[in-house]
Amino acid sequence: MIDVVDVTQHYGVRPVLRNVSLRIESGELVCLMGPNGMGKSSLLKVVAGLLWPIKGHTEINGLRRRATPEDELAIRRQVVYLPDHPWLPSNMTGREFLVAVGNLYEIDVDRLMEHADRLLKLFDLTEQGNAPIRTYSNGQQKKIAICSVLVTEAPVMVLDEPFTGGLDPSGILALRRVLRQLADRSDVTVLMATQIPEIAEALAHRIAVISQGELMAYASPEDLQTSTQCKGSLQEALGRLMHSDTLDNIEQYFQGVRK
Amino acid sequence: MMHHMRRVLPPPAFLWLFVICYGIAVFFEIMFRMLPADVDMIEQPRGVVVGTAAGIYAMYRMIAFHPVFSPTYHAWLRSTPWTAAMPLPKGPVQLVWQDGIVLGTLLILAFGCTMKTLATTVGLFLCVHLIMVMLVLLLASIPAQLYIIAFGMGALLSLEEHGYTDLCALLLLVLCMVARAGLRRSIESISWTSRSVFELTAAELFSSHAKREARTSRRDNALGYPYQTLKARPLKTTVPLVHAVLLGALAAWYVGVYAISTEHPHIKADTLGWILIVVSTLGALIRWLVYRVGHAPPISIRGRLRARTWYIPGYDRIYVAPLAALAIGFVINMGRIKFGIPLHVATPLGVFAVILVLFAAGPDLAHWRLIGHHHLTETREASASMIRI
Repeated sequence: MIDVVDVTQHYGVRPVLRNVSLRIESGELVCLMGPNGMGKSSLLKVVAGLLWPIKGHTEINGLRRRATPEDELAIRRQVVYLPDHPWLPSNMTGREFLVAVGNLYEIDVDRLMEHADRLLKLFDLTEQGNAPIRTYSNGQQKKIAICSVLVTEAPVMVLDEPFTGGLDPSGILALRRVLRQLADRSDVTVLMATQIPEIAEALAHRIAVISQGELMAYASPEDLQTSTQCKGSLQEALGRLMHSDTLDNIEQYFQGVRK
Repeated sequence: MMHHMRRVLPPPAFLWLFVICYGIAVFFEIMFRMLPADVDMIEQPRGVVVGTAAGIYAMYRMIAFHPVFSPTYHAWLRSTPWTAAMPLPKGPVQLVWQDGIVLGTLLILAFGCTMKTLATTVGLFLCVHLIMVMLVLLLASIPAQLYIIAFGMGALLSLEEHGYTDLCALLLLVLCMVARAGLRRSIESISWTSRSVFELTAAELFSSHAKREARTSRRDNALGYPYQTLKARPLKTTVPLVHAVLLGALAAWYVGVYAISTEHPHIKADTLGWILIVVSTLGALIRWLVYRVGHAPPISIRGRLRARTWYIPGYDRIYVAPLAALAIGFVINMGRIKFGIPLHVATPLGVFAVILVLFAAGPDLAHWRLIGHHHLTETREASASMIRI
């Protein structure tokens, strides 16, 4: 369970999060959506423990972040974070990296090796797995970063835009399937930022919409459609919520063209 | 074997560069052998290439593997359950057997060179390693081992110069053990809190993002009150007395090492005479500038003359330390000449006293900036970043 309690954060004088409170139950997959630069990544960093907010706090499975070193370490053993631009060791091979990360999470060696193999195969990295990461393409680097998250078997996953960064269609399909399977499990909680409504609609139990640093909506895809009185796709409902001016802007643009 | 070696080896581009340089050195060596040149000249190119490679490798090992030099690696570590009891996922920062193999290979490549060249290669590798460890300890604020190594390096220079090679090797070994303990502590000090010393300081020096931040931070420092209070990081303004004493002693120690070196006596006397003058003058100037920037006197010199206010206690006390430093430099130089105090005693003593005064004498910068009787002025950088209406 992830509990974000009254989190406020600002960089300098620019507020990015304003009194955001969010509760994600165990076994839920929640998609975080919102316009660019409105605080999604900051919120994920707060949950992942990389950013200490000016006000408020987060709790993971009942443990408060940064309360004591013991609690913090216990949280870190349960949480894995995939940033938008993940760090990767250029000199290590993909397989070595997965094993090193698995060791950090104290995964049983046999299971770790076997899981690493399966992940490399799943993301078409079996051959590349034994080459240094510096030789990987952007998409392959994204794939190995995703593998490094999945190999941890952490019960709480915080993913920042996992579907971007040059993933090929097979990678997207594989990740969708894996996340779908994780969403069906009751012991894994996933908080994921994404800009793709179709993915959110297909995977998320609930969608949190953040705009101007505030939590504008937090409901299931169906409830979002109902609340926005939108009978079309989720994309339209989200458009109304997040970009209410967009349709008007489009109309005005084409009116200008006609003139 | 290759799997273990690859973890510490630099990227192929470095290796290729080394191969090319080594090839050129071998070419020159063959050329020299054809010509009537002395032995030192013949083995010089290969010795230089191998020695330089050893130094660069020692530098690479620290910069590439210690989280202090990679904010992204450090940030990633902080999001994982990693603790200091576990090995670092990217690879070890301390010297390991793979480093021995790399160094051994370099020594084999220097075959035919004199023992001195081989010893210099090993010495260079270890000295660069120690310097990098000192940098890590400085960034991680671990003073104990830092001072030990810094003092030890001075002793090392002196012993080496006077030909005590056995003692030199022994001391190098001891310093490497101290460095190992220091590195251990630096790894342990990677804090579980967000604001670790590492991220704040190393970042400022090495990553491009952080360089940007550092520039902003420097600008912030120059903003002056009250804008300065808006910046995120507090300005470090106070040097504890113990550090002031140790820094003074360290500077004096290195001057002393030079004073007893085998340099030509005339050159040495000239240099030592200048060292005290330069340290006291430059130190006084820097100290005055640190206090003066953005904090002008309440009235100008002309104003003072007109108002016959020669002394403004609330402001002029910032001149005390710089003037004292200058006075110490002057008095010790004069006293040395008048009383015949040997240069190798007077100069280190003078440097110690000057540094001590410059670091430890009041007023405390933060305190003075808050309650000093100064006139807050725009600094050049602050006014450049200001929007004029």
